[in-house]
Amino acid sequence: MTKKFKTNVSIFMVFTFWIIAIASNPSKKTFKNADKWIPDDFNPSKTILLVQKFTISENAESKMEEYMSEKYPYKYEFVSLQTIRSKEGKYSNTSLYKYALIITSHTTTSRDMQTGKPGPTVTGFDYNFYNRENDKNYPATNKSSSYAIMTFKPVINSIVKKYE
Amino acid sequence: MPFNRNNIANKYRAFDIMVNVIIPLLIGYACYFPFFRNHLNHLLNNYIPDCTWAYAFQSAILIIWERKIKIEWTIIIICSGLCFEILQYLHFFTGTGDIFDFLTYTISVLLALILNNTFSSIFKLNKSYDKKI
Repeated sequence: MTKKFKTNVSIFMVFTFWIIAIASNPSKKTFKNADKWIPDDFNPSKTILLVQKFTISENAESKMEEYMSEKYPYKYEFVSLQTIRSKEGKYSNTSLYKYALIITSHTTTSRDMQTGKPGPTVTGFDYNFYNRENDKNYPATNKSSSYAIMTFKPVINSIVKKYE
Repeated sequence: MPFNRNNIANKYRAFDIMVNVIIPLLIGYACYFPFFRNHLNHLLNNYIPDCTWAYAFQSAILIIWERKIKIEWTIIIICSGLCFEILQYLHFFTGTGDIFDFLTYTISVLLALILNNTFSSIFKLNKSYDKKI
């Protein structure tokens, strides 16, 4: 084999392996640190997961609900943060509605180094488990995104993967 | 059947491709099947596909270059892994950009380079035997 031929085959290999990487890259994107933010005693088949509604965007909210209905095989309900915290009425049974998935957000404003004027503001959305029995907040995934849905989908995938 | 000068070398190369490229890729692919997803440790399940991909990639390049290490191609492979993780981080691809994934790629490439000595000696043996014939 000539050097030119080997080079061409090598370039072809680079393309081939990129295609393999992209094709095998799971659409079921998950977070590898799931053990750090999913409570040890969370059992999706025995409790009903409450998911905080994303009130900022109706479109994103409907996409999340659609995604849950497609991917999450256990029981869940989308409710407001107030409902999650209040523990009243239907949701007063904290054994059945033990865990909630709540949204955390943080805003960062960059600053122009030369003028000192504030630059663009970026908001990152993340999710964390909340134990309604003892009001305990679990760590967030630490994989926040400017689009809540970008974090929401892998959060759900990670939960489903852990318990399948 | 008449002897072909390249018969043994070709057979060895086919064996090399099978052991170091096809089988690792199949192992990585198998990790996405529910059976393995249920039976393998969560971490192993995430890193094995990355590991086998990088190992197979480096091995394929080594086989093309007759088991001679070409540092420029090794750099391209490692950079490919890095680029892939950066693109995932920037949400151009699904997945999460992860430094541990990149480390997995690098370690797997190094493993293929370490094992290259073993496979290249077999290749040289076969080539010299082939020339004798």
